[in-house]
Amino acid sequence: MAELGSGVLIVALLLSIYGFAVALIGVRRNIPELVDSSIRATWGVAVLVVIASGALLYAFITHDFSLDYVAGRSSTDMPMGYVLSAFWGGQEGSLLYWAMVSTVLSAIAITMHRKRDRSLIPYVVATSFAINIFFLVMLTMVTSPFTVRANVPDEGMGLNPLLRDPGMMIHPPLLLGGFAAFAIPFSFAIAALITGRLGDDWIRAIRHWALIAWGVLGLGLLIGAWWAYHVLGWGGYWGWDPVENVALLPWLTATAFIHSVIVQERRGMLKIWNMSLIVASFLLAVFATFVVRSGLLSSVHSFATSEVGPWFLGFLSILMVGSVGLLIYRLPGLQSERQLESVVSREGGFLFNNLLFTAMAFATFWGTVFPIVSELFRDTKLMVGPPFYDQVNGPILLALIILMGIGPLLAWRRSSPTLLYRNLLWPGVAGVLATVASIIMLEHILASVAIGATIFAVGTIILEYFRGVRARRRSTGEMYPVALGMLVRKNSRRYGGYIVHLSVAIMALGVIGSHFFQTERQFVMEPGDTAEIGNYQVTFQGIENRETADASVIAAPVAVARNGEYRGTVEAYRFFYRNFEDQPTAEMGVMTIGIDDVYVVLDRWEDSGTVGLRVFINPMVSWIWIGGGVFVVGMLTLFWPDPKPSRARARGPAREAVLREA
Amino acid sequence: MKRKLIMGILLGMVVTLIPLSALADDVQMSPKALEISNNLNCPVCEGQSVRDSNAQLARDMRRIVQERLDEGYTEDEVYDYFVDRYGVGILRNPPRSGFFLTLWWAPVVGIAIGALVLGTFLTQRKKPSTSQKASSESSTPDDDQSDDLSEYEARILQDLDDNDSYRNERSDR
Repeated sequence: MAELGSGVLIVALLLSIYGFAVALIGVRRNIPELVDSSIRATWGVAVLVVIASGALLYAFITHDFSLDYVAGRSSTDMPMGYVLSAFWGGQEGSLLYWAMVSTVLSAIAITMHRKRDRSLIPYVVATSFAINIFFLVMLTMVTSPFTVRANVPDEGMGLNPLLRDPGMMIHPPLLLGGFAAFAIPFSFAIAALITGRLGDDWIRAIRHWALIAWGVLGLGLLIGAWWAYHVLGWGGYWGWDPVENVALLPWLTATAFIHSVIVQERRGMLKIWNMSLIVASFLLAVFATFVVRSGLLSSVHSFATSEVGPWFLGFLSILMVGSVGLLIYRLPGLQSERQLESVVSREGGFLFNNLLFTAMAFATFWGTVFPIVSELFRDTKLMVGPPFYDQVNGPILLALIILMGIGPLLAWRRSSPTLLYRNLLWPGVAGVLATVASIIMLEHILASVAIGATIFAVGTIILEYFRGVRARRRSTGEMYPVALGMLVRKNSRRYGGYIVHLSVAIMALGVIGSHFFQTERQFVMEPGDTAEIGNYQVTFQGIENRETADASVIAAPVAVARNGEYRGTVEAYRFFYRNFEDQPTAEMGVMTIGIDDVYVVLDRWEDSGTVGLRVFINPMVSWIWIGGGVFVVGMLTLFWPDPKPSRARARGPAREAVLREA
Repeated sequence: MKRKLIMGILLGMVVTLIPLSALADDVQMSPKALEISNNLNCPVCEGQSVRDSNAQLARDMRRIVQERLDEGYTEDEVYDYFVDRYGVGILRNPPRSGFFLTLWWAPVVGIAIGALVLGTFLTQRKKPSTSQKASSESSTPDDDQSDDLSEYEARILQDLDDNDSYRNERSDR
């Protein structure tokens, strides 16, 4: 397997270099056959990288410990699910996975767009090959997953204990897949910059690809949060840890892009800006991979420190210099076709949205790299903890939620103030009522304002749906449910977008509840002891020692009662995996009762049966996961294939001719 | 294989012993002490707070926090105690003074610059030439100057039609 794997990777590298050269020669000398050959080469490379991945997977399944990567990350006693997910459990495998996603998606994208975007394609091919070449050089020369051990061990080391969790089977592939998918919009952007064809073609081509990358990355971040909540035991789901931050950065710029691209489509504005956002998203995705893999920033998630740092830094510098240079060179071609007529308009709303998202990205980036900055100027690594991000990003998030309530009600070009006020009336009333009610009930002003803002945003979404359904019913005479279904079906982009907005509102309520109203207590308990936290009584029932195939487990069952009424038993665990006895991991006991999560952490224990437990009451956290589900529904709506056009559109002969040419 | 087994048993014994000895010097913490230790960086861990870390040093620090509070120290005095020993980097909430001012002000300056760029963009666009204005008006008919809500609904319908036609164009190409 090792020979096959490293062999196909070398062939893939050579084929990539061939494709890169041939695509450029073909377009420069105007030889279409060469360009076609380079397009076929993208499939060749994709197939070869898939074969290499298959070889590595096969080595894992067959426990081929002659491979250093397999022996270092899996063992025969691990459940097969974790053996397979060990594929991306280390640097070599995750780079191979990155390369696989980016080569396969590039091949698909290039094939799909080869006819329609003929003039862009050679440069798209060349750019994506350039990216592939970097990863394939890494995989063949610097950090190969197929390195063979001189003496083959009987048994492997096993996977890093922190990664032995169901969340880690899904989180890394989604996160890395999202990063890798940004290569496609980036390739199209670079092709548009090189050819100078800066019109709407490239924007139309990449819109869906940017959305896919953004959606997959978003889902990956959510599952990462879920994993952290269950495994890391700090009572939260997002710790503003450097590795979490760098993964969030491309998502923030991509979120800005998927909003501002609408302005370019409708109004021909913000061309430079959109181009910069796409380039920035890809650069940040590479930066994130680099940070996670280089150990540049210390983090709870740095699973590897290695020598790939300089390589990534070089790659990142080349990408940055190249794309910024191209952007500056093409600035004159990127002028807006139209002008902003009024700040109070949909365009203005999108601009403000972009300002907030980029500000948040900047603040997060700054806080994340600040330890490096301080080390440069002050000799000490000054860490930046969650309080900084709470205080800086908190207000930005609040502003974004409020904007989410106003934006959809703004008209393109210019909103008449009277109409805007009338539209804002009901959502506004709902928001104010919710604020007042929350202040009375919760006695927390900041949280109440945030809740009010979220309810306001929800009100706007409901209003938009209601108006859309009513308008549709008036014009078609459909029943309300049918009209609702058809409304979403026929305008999936607009109303799917609102579903995503709704998911954000649900998650916002979850974040507000858990951020402001978390309770934490620490108890030392004997078996049978009962302790009180809020409305809850927890009874420790005695330590249990268990053995699984790959670990010894210490379980602390805790009976949970609410106001004296028994509601069930949760178990908090500590795991001691073989070969990793010095790195015990944990799984928290979490029970959702109503809106509250009862969250039990087993801190320590002794043979007499006494334990140290930390118990959190985390209100509303389950809403974040519910919001995640709604997010997926919204994404599926956005991607659902368009219905067949209901009516043919009459066209002038001249227009027909133009379209045929294109 | 047999050696491994013995090693494993020995290791297991060591491991079960560790928590035993550790529990001896760990203390029950008040909510205040938990809060304070969550605002301190564990100096030997990667990105964890003193509250969440299992390192021995973090245990000791937790104990010190609780002891100081029991002795009647104020919250600030406890923080000062740790800053004196470990430097200002021990605080998870960076102070707003000295070098840390750059940390706090950079985002503000960033937003200000962003707003400024946006502002110039907006004011630049305020002087449209008449020909361009005319052309833009003819190309996007979704103009709503009226105050009537029915106009708003007409605009929604118009938007929906636009989407349909946009899609038709796409599928025709």
